[in-house]
This record gives sequence, C-alpha cells and structure tokens, in this order.
Amino acid sequence: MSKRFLWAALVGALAVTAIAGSSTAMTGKTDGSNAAQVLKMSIGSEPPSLDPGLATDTTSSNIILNIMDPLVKLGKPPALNAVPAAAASWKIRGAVVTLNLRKSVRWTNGQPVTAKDYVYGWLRTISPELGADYAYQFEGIKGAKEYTACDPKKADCNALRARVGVKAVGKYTLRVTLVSPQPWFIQQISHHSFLPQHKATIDRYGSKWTEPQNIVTNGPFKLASWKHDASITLVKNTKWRNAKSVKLIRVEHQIIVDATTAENAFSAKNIDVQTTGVASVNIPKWKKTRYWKTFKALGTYYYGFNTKNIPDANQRRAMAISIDRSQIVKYITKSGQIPAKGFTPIGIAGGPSILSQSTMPATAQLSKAKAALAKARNPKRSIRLYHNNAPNHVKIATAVQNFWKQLGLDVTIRPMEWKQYLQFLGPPPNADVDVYRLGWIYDFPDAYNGLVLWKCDSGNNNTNWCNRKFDSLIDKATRTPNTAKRIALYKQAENILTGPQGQLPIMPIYYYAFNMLQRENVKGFVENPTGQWDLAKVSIR
Amino acid sequence: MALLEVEDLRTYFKTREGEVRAVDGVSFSLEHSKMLGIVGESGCGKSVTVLSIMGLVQTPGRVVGGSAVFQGRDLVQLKGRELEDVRGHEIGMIFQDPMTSLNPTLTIGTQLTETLRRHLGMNKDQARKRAVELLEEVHIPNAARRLDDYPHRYSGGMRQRVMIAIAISCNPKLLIADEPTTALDVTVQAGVLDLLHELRSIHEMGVIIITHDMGVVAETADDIIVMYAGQIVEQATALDLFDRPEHPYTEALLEALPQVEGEGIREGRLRSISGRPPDLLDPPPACRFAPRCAYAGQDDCATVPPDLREIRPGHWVRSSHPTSERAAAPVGAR
Amino acid sequence: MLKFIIRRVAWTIPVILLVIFMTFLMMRQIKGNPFQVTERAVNEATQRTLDRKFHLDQPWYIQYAYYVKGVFTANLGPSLVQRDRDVNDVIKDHFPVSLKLGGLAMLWAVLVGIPLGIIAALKQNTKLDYAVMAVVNAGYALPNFLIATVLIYLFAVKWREHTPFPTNGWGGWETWVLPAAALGHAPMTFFARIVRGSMLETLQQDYIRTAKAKGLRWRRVVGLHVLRNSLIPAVTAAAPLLGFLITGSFIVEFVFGIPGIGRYFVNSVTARDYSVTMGITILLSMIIIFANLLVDILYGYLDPRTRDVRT
Ligand SMILES: Nc1ncnc2c1ncn2[C@@H]1O[C@H](COP(=O)(O)OP(=O)(O)OP(=O)(O)O)[C@@H](O)[C@H]1O
Ligand SMILES: [Mg+2]
Repeated sequence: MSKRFLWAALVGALAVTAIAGSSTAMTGKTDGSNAAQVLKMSIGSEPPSLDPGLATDTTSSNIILNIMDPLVKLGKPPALNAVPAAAASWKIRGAVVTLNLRKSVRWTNGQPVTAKDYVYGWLRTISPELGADYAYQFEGIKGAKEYTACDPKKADCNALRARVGVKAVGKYTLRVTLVSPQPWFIQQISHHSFLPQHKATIDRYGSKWTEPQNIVTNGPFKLASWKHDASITLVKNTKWRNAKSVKLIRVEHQIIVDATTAENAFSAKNIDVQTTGVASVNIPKWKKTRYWKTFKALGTYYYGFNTKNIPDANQRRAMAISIDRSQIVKYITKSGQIPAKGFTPIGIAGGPSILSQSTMPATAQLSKAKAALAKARNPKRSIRLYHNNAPNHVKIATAVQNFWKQLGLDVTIRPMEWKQYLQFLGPPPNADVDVYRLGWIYDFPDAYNGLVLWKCDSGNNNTNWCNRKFDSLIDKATRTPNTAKRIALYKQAENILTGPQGQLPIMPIYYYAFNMLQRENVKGFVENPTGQWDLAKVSIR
Repeated sequence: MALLEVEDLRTYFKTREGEVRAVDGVSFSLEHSKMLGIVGESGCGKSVTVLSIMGLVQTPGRVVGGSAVFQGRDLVQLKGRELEDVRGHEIGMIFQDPMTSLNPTLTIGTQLTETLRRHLGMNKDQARKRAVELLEEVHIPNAARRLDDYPHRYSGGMRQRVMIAIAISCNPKLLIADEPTTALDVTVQAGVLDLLHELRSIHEMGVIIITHDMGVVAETADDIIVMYAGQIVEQATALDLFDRPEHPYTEALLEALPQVEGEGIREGRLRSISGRPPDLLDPPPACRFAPRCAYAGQDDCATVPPDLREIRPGHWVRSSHPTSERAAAPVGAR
Repeated sequence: MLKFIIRRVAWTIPVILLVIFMTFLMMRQIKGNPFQVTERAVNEATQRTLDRKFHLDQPWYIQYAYYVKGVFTANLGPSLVQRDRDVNDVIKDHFPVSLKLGGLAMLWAVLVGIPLGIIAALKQNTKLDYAVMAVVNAGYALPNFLIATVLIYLFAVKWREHTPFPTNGWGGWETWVLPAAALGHAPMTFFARIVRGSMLETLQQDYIRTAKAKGLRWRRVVGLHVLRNSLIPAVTAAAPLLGFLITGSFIVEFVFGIPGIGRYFVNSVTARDYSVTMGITILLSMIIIFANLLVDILYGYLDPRTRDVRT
C-alpha cells in the first residue's frame, strides 16, 4: 500500500463522514426588517412529546396548543376566566359539565372534530396502557382514577373505562361528570391534556403519529417540520375556523438549550423571540434593553421543612421570617420575581384576599424571629439544607445559610443531582433532610392546584406534615362552586400554612416570573401566567 | 586533475558550551580510481570531514571555510539543488550502521529505485530491472523476490550490501564509505570489504574509506590520512606509512595493532593508546597531541603549533619530532 | 492480515457484552425515577403502569435478558422519557450529526495540525517555530467551550455582517465551520506537537541522512521518508481521537445548539432514560473499538515491522 493510497483513503473516509448525514436544519439569518409574517424564535428544549396525552412540559405544551384548538382559552389575568374556543358554550349543573362544540372545527384532513374525538382522546390519556403522567389532571372526573389504576391482569379494565364520566351525548355535545362540582374544571380544560385526539391517525402510526408527515391537528398552525433537537416549524393553517385573524404565516422554532447560545442568536438577529432564558450574569445587561420582557407566573419557589426533624412551629416560623426575600429576588434571581407572602401566588384569582393574613415578610424580621426561636421547645440548631444542584439554588441556599446563622443556627448545605434529589425527598423524605427546596408551577389557575399539595396523602407533600383541618378545607373547596366562598376556604387553608398562627410546614420564598427577549417588531407575544403563548395573536410589524 | 581536492576544510559546531572545531583545516586530494583511507580515534572528525564534503553536516554544524573541489566544482559553494544532483549520482556514500541507515517503512525496492529514477530518469520498470541487477551485483540471493521486502527482513550484512548497491547504482566517480564494517559481525566484515574492492575495480571509482581499523586499509588503500582532533597529523602512501610511520600518534596506532600477518590483522582496533583525545571545545593551544605525546616537553611543541610539513616526497607529518628526526629514545616514560 | 481483522472483530463481541452488562449495572445504581421529570409526583397507578410497560418491575436479570435480546436484534427499545421515540430513532437522527461533526473536527485537526507541526519542525528554533508552538501551546490549554464561545462571539455576533457563520444550528457548510474548529482545536494542537516532536526525531535518523546522501529532492525526503515515519505516532493517536471526537463533542454540541448524539447522551443520563443511555453507550463503545481496530490496521501499513510480528 503506497503512501498516496493511504492518504487518499484517509481523506476519503473523512470526506464521506462529512457528507454523510442528512440533516439540513434551517439556520439562515433574518434581515431585521421582516416584512413577511415569519416569526423566528428559540425554545429551551426539544419538546419531549407532541402527544397531548403524553406531554408534560411547557415547551411541548406551547407547540401543541398552537397546532390544536383547545375547548377554552384563558382570559386576562388575574381572573383568567375561561373564554370559548373550540367549545362555543357550556353549562354547569352541579358536578356535570356539558360542552357544546363548534361545528366549524375541522381536523387538518378535513374531517369535523366531534365529541367522540374528545372522549377517545381523554380515555386514551387516562388509560392504564398509556401510562400518561397527566392522567392526574383527570382525577376530578368520575371513574377516571379507578380506570387509570386498573391492572389488566387483575380487573376488567373495559368495564372501568365504560364507567368514566366522559360521554359524547351528541355529535357536538360532550358531557363530563365530575366527582364533585369542581368550579375550576372549565378553566382546567384549557390545558393541552384535554385536547381531542385523532383516533385513525394514532391507530395507524402508533407512537410515530406525532411526526410531521403523520400528525392530524385542528389548530391555527400546522406542524410543517420537526427536526429533532434542532428545529420545529409551524405554518399557518389556512383552513382553521378563524384563520382570518391569524397574521403569522410561519413560525420557526430553533431548539437552543444553552442560554448564552440563545442570547448570541438573538444578538446576531437570527431570532426575534428568545424564550430559552438568559444567563444569570447577563440579566442586568439585558434588563437595560427594550428587548427584555417579564411576565408574572403562577408559581412559587419554596423551602419545605421536614416537620419530623423540626417539629416546633415556632422554630419554623423563626426560620421563615428571618429570611430577606427582597434581597434574594433583587440580587440573586434578578428577573422580575416577587417575594412570596404565602404559598398561593398573589397573581391568582382571589390571591390578595387569600393571602391577606399571610405572614411571610419581604424583609427579614430578625428580632421577631429570635423571639420565636426562644419560644421553641428544644430547637434543632444544626440544620441540613438540601437542594438540587443549579447555580441559583446554590446562591439562594448560601444566602439562607447566612440569614439563619444570625439566628444562631448552623446550616450545612447539601446539593444533589435532580433525579436523585426527587427520590431522596420521598415522600416521606429521607430522615437526613431538615429543609429542602422545591417549586410549584400551576397547571390550572385556581388556588386549589397549589394548596392541594399539602394534604396528608399528597404525593408532593414531602414535609411529613399532616393536618386534618387543612384537608377538610381543601376537600370542601372541591364542592364549592361559589367563587367568593371558595376563596374564603382557601384563605383559611392558607392561614394554616402561613398565617399568624400558621403551622409553616413550608416557607415560600418568591413567586416565579417568565422572562424572554423580544425584538421590537414583534407584536402581541405574551406569556400567560400558566406559561402559554398564543401565536395566533402574534404579528410582525 | 585530481578527482577530489580538499583544501583547508573547516567545520565548526556552535554549541551552548562553545564552538567545537570538529574539522579544523583539513586538506587532501584523491586521484581517479584511487583509494584513500582515513583513520583515527573516535571523535577525531573523520565522519564530519566527509559529511562536509557531501554537504550533509547537520545543525549546529557548519562548514565555515575551505573548499572541496570535485571534478572542477567546489561542493562547499554549491547551492542545495546542485548539490543534490551530485549526491548519490556522482558521489555515493555508505554509512557505518546498516541497521539504521535504511528506512524501515519503505521496501528495499523503493529505496533502490528512487535513486535510479531521480538521477538516471528511469521509469518504474527500468528502475526495477536495474535494481534487481544491482542486488545481484552485491550478491543478494533471490534478488527479484526480495525486492519487495522491507529492511527488517534483511540481515545486517545484507543491508550493508543493499547500501552499497544504492551507493553505486548511478555509477558514481567517488564512493565514500564511512566505517562500512564497524557495526557488522566479524564473520561478514570480510565479505563486505571484498565486495567493495571488487566493485571499485569494476566501476573504476575513487574511494574514501574511513575506519578505526588500520588493518582494513593496510593492504588496499593507496594513500592514508591519519587524523587527530580535527586535524590531519600524517599523510602518506599506505606502504610508506606502514613502513615508516613518522608521527608519534601513528606509531602508537600501529603498535596497538596485533602484529599478526594476514586476515587476523583486521581485528586490530585503535583502542589501547593511553590518555584521551582532547576536548575539541578547548583543544591544546599548539600541538594537539602534546598532552599524550611521549616526546613533548623536549621543545616548544606545546606552545608553538607544528605545521604539516613534507618530511620526504609524498609523506606529510604534523609534529616537531617525527621518527626520522628523533635521535634518542623517548625521555619520559609513557 | 484478514485473519487478524476477523479475529479482532470477533473479539469485540464479548467486549460489547461486558459493556452492556456494566452500563446496565451502573445505570441501576444511580437512583432516580425516569418517569418523574418535574417536582410533580407521578401517580402511583401511572408509575405502576410504566414500570410494567418497560419491564422495570421485573428482576434485573430478566431486564438484562430483554435488553441483550434487543441489542442482538438491532432493536434498542423505546425511550423511557421521550415516549414517542425509539432509541433506534434517536441514533438514526443524531448519530450522523456527531459523526459528521467529529469527522470535520478531525479533518480540521489533521489539515491544520499536521502542516503546523511539519513547518515548526522544519523551521526548528526559528521565530516561525516559536510563533507556531506558542500558539499551539497556548491553544492546548484552552477548553473547547471557551474557544467555542469566543468563536461565536467574534464570527457570528461581532463580525456577523462580514461572515456567513450563524451562532448556532446545523445545516449547510457555514454551520459546520465554527463547531468543527472549536472541537478540532485541541486535537489540532495535539497533532501539531506530536508531529513536530516525531519529525524532529525522525530528521535525526540515519536513514534520513541516507536519503539525503542519495541526492533525493528535499521534497521527497520530507514528504516520504520523514513524514511516513513521523506520522506513525500521529496515526496511532488519531483513531482513538476520532472516537473521542465523536463521543466527546457534547459540550460543543451544547454551545452551538447542534443536534448531535453527545448532547442526547448526557441528557439521557440526567433523565434516567436507561434505554437511550445504554443504546448510545453501546454505539459509542463500538466506535471506539472500531477506531482502535482501524489504528492497528493503519499502523500495520505504516510500519511494516509490526505486520510480520502478527501474521
Ligand atoms: N551535532 C554535533 N554537535 C556538536 N559536536 C559535534 C556534533 N557532531 C559531531 N561533533 C563533534 O565533532 C567531532 C568529530 O565527530 P565525528 O563524528 O566526525 O567523529 P569520527 O571521527 O567520525 O568518530 P567515530 O569513529 O566515532 O565515528 C566529535 O568529537 C564531536 O565533538
Ligand atoms: Mg564517524
């Protein structure tokens, strides 16, 4: 073998490598002035699934909700009332909700969307075969929980399915029977898990039905391409019932995971809207520009106590009020977060009223805290604080460590990797945990969705705290359609958590905010408090 | 005109410790088809002398002065490309260690033919044919088959034969052999030497042969140069030099030879002279042999450098007390 | 030679089995629930369903058996986390990207690094040599995410009007240049140093003096006699390096937003997506094994001495 051949082989092999592979992602640059109604934006991750039954995250949700037509949409905050969308109207009689579907809603293959498509979709989502995470959204529907829990080897799942309270009572009439009159249900169905699903497509393509060449949808946009981990392109669905009002003809989502990369793409004018996020150090810089946008979120960043290890509420109160929340949002998170007054977000319907007696201070109340600690019987002075490892969590934990030092507490910080952390927290939490950090983002805009976490049997109550009075208040709320009365119940429950005589199994720190960068020619791009954006309302100037 | 005329050749190495005068004013000439032997202890500058002629001195060495006129052209002055045309074409060269002198990653055939193609403009087939003939000429059995072997399949003696084949492949006028047998097994040394003589007479080449071994040159060389510390200390015909050595160093060299007639002589090596050769970084100021010379101290040879002078026609010596001018036996003992 | 290759290929089978086994065991050692993504607890019923679906409720050896069967039928199973994709899809979509990125980086490293090393060696101890080696040594110390960031800032942000390079993405040639340079940088400096070193060593060899004494043109002396021998250490290092470039590119993939397999690999570990992690591990170990095989073959061609020893 000659030297020349060797080189040829080497270069050839590399050339083949270079030519191999077929991805041709779009990466062209936009020329700032975008006369055409094309929106280029970044999203922070590959949507794990575009199946309304399987998607669990906001990235997937935002793609799905723009290619689909939900029954209702949420109106303006803070009320976030249900606004008719695919459902023209609805009637609520106790625990029975009857939805009248618009006859003008069509699948992209031309077929009308009927009540059967909803029944099929919902039952598929809660079926024991699918194992969908968001089956939990349906637990308020009669028989749903039982069907989801069905073990095909031990019970007749078909019979259980027949008993689920979702029925097509006419071609365009859907009747839902709830276990109790849950007044938030009509808002809850704005969530992507309550979308209809196209049975023929799913039957035909199985798990591949969400690929662009297979998928059948019914929303203002169509899925034109999905290059995994690279880009997702939507094009306007000119046959949508309200296509006239849709301005954008195309939306190109670039999947950019790294914040700095996304910032660079924005700086280089490759994208108009950057939803990936901004690196912490760059927040002050971007905040000074007109590109920076902040939207209030329904979500709370909190620390929880392992009440087995810190049983005295006085100590928990001392720890909760010795923290300077305004410093944390001002110097650490820096991007529009608000110090939490209680667990319920202030921006939720009735929020100010629910929180009116909550006692979490914005600035530290050190002397009060010391007094409270003095009242505590046998306080635990060496505290192990657990958090999952991420830059901001570390910074906040360090700040908290310092605040508690002034109380005379000795805090050890224990960072952990996310998944191990979740397992470590239980419930019940590992005995080594004294304090842990977590957050909660609301799936539907009712205080119930957050407060229910603190029931005794909740899978998210990692505090070992259990209060029957609290539980009964929450249960009562599910049976109280009257908004004012319900809010009064929430206020009582919130007081048990964070009121003057509160038990403080948790200490809320701040309310979340959503941030993004938007070029000035983008109009109407807003993120609602549950993290949804409606591209049908966006235009380019 | 002489085939090669070397005049006051100087090659210095610039090292961190200072300037090493490895070759310091060497002059000699070689007639067509004659054989010149260069002998001397290790490190006296034999290799550097011939490498200087070939333009193969490596940095930090540099030929700083003198000339080497080969067939009317001063090789020292030639530019790189012109010199390349001479090397391997008109002057062939063989090195000491055949084990490392062939490229281990190329076939014998490649290494033979590339010279033929380069200098004689042969095409691939012509060159291969000629290469086989050359291998046969140096007595490699199965030459045609062994052409595509790599050097590691050849023994040391065979490799040196290949080196010889390469060196003579373009019918050079001059063959330089730098200790061609030193690294070889005693049993094959004679064969290689015989081959050299055989080829020399067939091709009518001038030959410069460098050796440690007086015996190698005794019978075959026409002239002999004895080098010491970068300089020529004695130069004469082989007969005269062996008969009547003049320089005390040469005497010592010959004394160190086992006085055995015939083949056995070749095994004698220049190793048993007492004392060490001088440090070329800082050589003795005058006669460089003085510190080891039994006769030094009788005159001013340690302060006034002796010239290379013709003590009788054709016999040159660099010493203030050559044998023929010495009356008495040495005063100091060794 | 053929016999040697067959024997080497056959040897990879037990090695891969071992890799599967070890990855399998290690993945089970890391705690964490693949089905819980956010803090929201997974329904007990759902958890049971999923465990059943993915055989996680079976003893480990049954799971292992399922898995080995999958590997040998070229079906690496579904992703546990991205529920509408199979591991085969993931590999099919993302491996070619990493392969191309790694190949281009290698090309960059070879095409820039080797000439730099050659120049530095031929101009040893001149200003040019010092300049090249200063750049190479300084560059060697820089981590590739830093280089990536600087490249993006300079070429895709600051001078974006004058260059065709985007900040991120993967498509036409203009999207390849910066990532390949960022990824290929370290191996480039590596090649430059290794080639310079071995060139200097080779230049001192007796057979190079022979080649010169033969009157060969300088071009041929360097291009054939010197280079061939100097490249042996570079080639020996190159193939595992290629494996490393294909498998170790995740940082560059992150920074440039490239949909390669490296990023997926890292994500799958954090997500506890067992089947994806194992699928990619097996693929990558096969690449590294293959790369080493390639070295041995290449080495045999470059250095004939080793051929005799083995056949
Ligand atoms: N690269 C170098 N750097 C410094 N000095 C050198 C170098 N090469 C040779 N020399 C000097 O030149 C002198 C002569 O070396 P040369 O190789 O010519 O000796 P020689 O007579 O051929 O010895 P030998 O019989 O061992 O081959 C040595 O003493 C050495 O000091
Ligand atoms: Mg020598």
